[in-house]
Amino acid sequence: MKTLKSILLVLFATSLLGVLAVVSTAQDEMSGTVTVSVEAWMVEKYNMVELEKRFEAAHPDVDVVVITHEGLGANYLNIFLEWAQTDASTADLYFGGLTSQLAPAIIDDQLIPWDDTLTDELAPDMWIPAFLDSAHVDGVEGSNYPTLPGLGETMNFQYNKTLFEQAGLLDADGNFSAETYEDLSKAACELAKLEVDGQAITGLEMEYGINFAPDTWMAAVIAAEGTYLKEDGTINWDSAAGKQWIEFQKSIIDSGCGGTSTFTDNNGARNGLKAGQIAIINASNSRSNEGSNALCADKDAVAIKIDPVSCPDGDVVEMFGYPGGKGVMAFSHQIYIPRVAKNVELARAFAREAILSEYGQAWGAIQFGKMPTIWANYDALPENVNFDIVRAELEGPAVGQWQYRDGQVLRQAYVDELQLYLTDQQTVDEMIANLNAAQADADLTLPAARVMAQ
Amino acid sequence: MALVKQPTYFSRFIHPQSHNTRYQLFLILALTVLCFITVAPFIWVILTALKPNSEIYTTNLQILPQQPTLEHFQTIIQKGNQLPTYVYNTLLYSVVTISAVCFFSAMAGYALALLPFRGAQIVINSILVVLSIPWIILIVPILIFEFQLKIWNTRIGLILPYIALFLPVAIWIMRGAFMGMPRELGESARIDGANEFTVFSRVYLPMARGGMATVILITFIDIWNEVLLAASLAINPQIANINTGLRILADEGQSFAFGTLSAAIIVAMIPTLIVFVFLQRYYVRGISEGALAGF
Amino acid sequence: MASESGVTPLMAQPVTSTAKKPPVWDLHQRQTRFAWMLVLPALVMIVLFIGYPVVYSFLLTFSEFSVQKVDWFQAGLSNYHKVFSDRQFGGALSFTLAYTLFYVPISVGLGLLVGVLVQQVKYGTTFFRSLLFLPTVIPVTMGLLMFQWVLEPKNGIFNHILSDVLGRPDLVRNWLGSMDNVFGTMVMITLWGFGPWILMLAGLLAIPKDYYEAAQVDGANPLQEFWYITLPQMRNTLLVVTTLQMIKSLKIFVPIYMLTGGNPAGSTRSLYYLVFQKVNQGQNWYAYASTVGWVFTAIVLVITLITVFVMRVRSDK
Repeated sequence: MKTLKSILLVLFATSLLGVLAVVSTAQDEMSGTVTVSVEAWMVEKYNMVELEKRFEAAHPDVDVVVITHEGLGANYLNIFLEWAQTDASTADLYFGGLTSQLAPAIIDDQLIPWDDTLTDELAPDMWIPAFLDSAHVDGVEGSNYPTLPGLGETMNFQYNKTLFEQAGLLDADGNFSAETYEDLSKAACELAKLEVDGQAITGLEMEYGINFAPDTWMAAVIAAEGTYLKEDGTINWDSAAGKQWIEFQKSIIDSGCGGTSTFTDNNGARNGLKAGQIAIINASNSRSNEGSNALCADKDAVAIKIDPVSCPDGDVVEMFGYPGGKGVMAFSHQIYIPRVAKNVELARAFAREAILSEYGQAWGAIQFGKMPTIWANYDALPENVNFDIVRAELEGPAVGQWQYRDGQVLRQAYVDELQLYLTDQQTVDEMIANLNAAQADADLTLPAARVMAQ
Repeated sequence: MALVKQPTYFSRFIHPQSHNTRYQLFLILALTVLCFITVAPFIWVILTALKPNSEIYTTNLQILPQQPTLEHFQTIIQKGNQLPTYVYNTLLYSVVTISAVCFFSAMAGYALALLPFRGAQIVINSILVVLSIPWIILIVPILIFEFQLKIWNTRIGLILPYIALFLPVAIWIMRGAFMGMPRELGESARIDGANEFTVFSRVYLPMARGGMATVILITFIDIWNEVLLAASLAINPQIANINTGLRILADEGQSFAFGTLSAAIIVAMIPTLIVFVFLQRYYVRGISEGALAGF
Repeated sequence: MASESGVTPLMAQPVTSTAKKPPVWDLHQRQTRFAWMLVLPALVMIVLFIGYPVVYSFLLTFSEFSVQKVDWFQAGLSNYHKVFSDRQFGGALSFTLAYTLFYVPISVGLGLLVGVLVQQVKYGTTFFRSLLFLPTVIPVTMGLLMFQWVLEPKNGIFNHILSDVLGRPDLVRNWLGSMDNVFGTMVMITLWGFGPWILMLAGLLAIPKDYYEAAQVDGANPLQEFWYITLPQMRNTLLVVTTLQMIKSLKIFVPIYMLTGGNPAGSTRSLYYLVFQKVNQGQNWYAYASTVGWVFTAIVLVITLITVFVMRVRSDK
């Protein structure tokens, strides 16, 4: 009797364990709804629809809802306020937002750090330092990565090689590069003499709006001096390279070799490049792929397919860097999860498997020049001259955007002061003085890591 | 019983002087020019919607499409129910808000016009002041208020402020409409034993149709044109109104956007036009009967 | 027992004008109660979503705001000092006033002109009215995007017509992007739709036909009819419309939001847009933003009251 009892007991215990084992492995399969919010333009340019489909196919019990939010403007501030005031968030995972825009949320500790997810293919040394470093915040270990870079770009000059060829400005290798700003001025003014189809060409159209103006200033100063920050961490508005850059911009406008469409139209330069109306623009590297696709003689070759990368005859638009060469300005759009999100597990899974996947990152790069942030995904890209140019830049020193709490205020101040200078309403020294005053008035708190909330 | 031809409402349009042919010709010419100026942007948008991108952004611009294409309309359709959602949302906001506004403004307008009570003057004066307040300074407190009630970024979170913000004008119009009505009707009804509610609902309210029509029209057009509150309180694309929606579309397209945007404008215009074709007939009548009365 | 008593004494008396008329103070009380009942829903909504925010934002102008807490009355008048020494505020004020100065007379004049044309024409009235009604009908962002496209410097139809069709490439401009042109362009764009012509039309239709018939008997031509009959009769309408247009133009926002963002170089930054920019600068700037908003509101109120006062005085004459 006793033996029977003990046998039954053992059997019962074993089956209980077996059931538990089955149940626990079954719970490894994810289920539920995850809401992902991306900036409006990313739906097309990062193929969110396809990523959603693939993720749902891999996890049949999961429903992915993709919504959008606006990038420019105060949307992020309202979203952060929502998290703080309602203890809930509209989305579990957010993709989109530059480090300068997300600073308030990071400073207020509203984001769940990613440190413990940086394993395997996402280990810290797998990432491109130019991008990962700007997402890193100093401080307590274990919460150094409140955000992760999902896609990134570098700032340089994009130029239309066909027009350059027409003006006879390509060198022996069929490329162009500017050693000094005088070289650039001369080239721009040569190109401004061209006419295509009876329409005059603009030589060099730069960015004077909130989208890119501050970033171009940062890039110029980084290229000449390695950084735009002073020892104390504040912005070095007095830098000689910065002043030279601003004065260069004015000289281009005054000489008529460049335009001012970006005063009010954030896409003015970009549209003009893609239409073949502008020879050189000064924006992020993705414009080169965009421009090539638009200007390619063989339109069928660049219909949106995953394989063709550029024109069969070579890229029409390529890039050259700022004079100076001491480093590049690199920015990236971040992925982040609010602490008040409901479905953190699913959100992290979506980030790892969808957004940071080879498919996701490669697609954005091939179609639109939005570069991967992980070396393995970069290596997987097809051959393309523009990808090589950016790779060379990323392998060198790189600096990101400033990340003060009032970082956006300083960006707006820069645009306001710059436009006043470019329209002859103040001198460059007044502009620099006003920028220093704005900086003195601003809240320059920087993000710093806190211990992860339990 | 001789049938006297009653002048129809629209016969007031005809001016006795109108028979002078040269004068009429001048009027028609002038109006044609003005109409052309009004309609010209639409023509350009329609032409753009039919061109491929290579003809829209090019060094060799032509007015007419050389190779007309429907690809932009296809893009719009592929975007699924984005545009229809925006139109539907705006309609929803309009219907709900206007129902509440009509209801509340008729009641308040009547009370302020025909019922003597202390406090009426204060309310009237404060409405005048409220009309001048730019809505931007209300945004932050309303935002915080809605966060606490957890209604930010929801439909109700936009409708409630809409009702409150469109009420002052509506009350002003309804009060004007009621003030133009004879008090004797109310007096005699009360003498006959009617209570206040009956006086309101049976005697005066039926006569307020003109004012109601004006309120409906003005509020309707104002909601369709509302940009600021919608952009601050209902930013989720699923609940965005047409103005926020068009901005989202422009944002999505970024560069080379106007091909798709032109197609979107045309597609979005169709339901808008259908709705407003009905309103057009009543707009002038409603305005003349109602809007100017309150001043 | 109930059936025994049957009809109650009250019901036995017929209700006539001489019997049981409630005393005046009773009626007044009932009316007051009923009135407050009627007004209450509207009042609640207005107090909640207008009254409360108004008071909150006003008190905020003297305070310091952060996401965690609000320090009421800690800032005193410092925010107001900042506003008046803010360069951008002065710029926004001058743009807003300049815009109003141009927009109000032109829009009232255009509105009157178009109203008269529409009222006077005999053939195709409905056709013209429908077409002219179009700008009122479409949502404002649609119209603005259309104009942004029409005026695009390189790819828009306007410059194309100037340079290629009319052969005047020297007239080609960056209409929305250059300092010299953007002000005029903004005025012109906001005048699309010819201002308040519908209100004018309504006012014109209210003028009794007899006046015109009498004038025609006397042999007056259209111009004389306009000057001696139409204008005087339209006085009230004109005053009302001018006041409305003035309030509207002082609060201009959407065209700037959609088309220029206040640029180039802040030259099209209206007061309303300035407040908008400040509100969107960040949580710790809310108190300052509210202050800018309130100074703006005060300006609008003062100008409106002055206008109304002047108009009332003139209409009493």
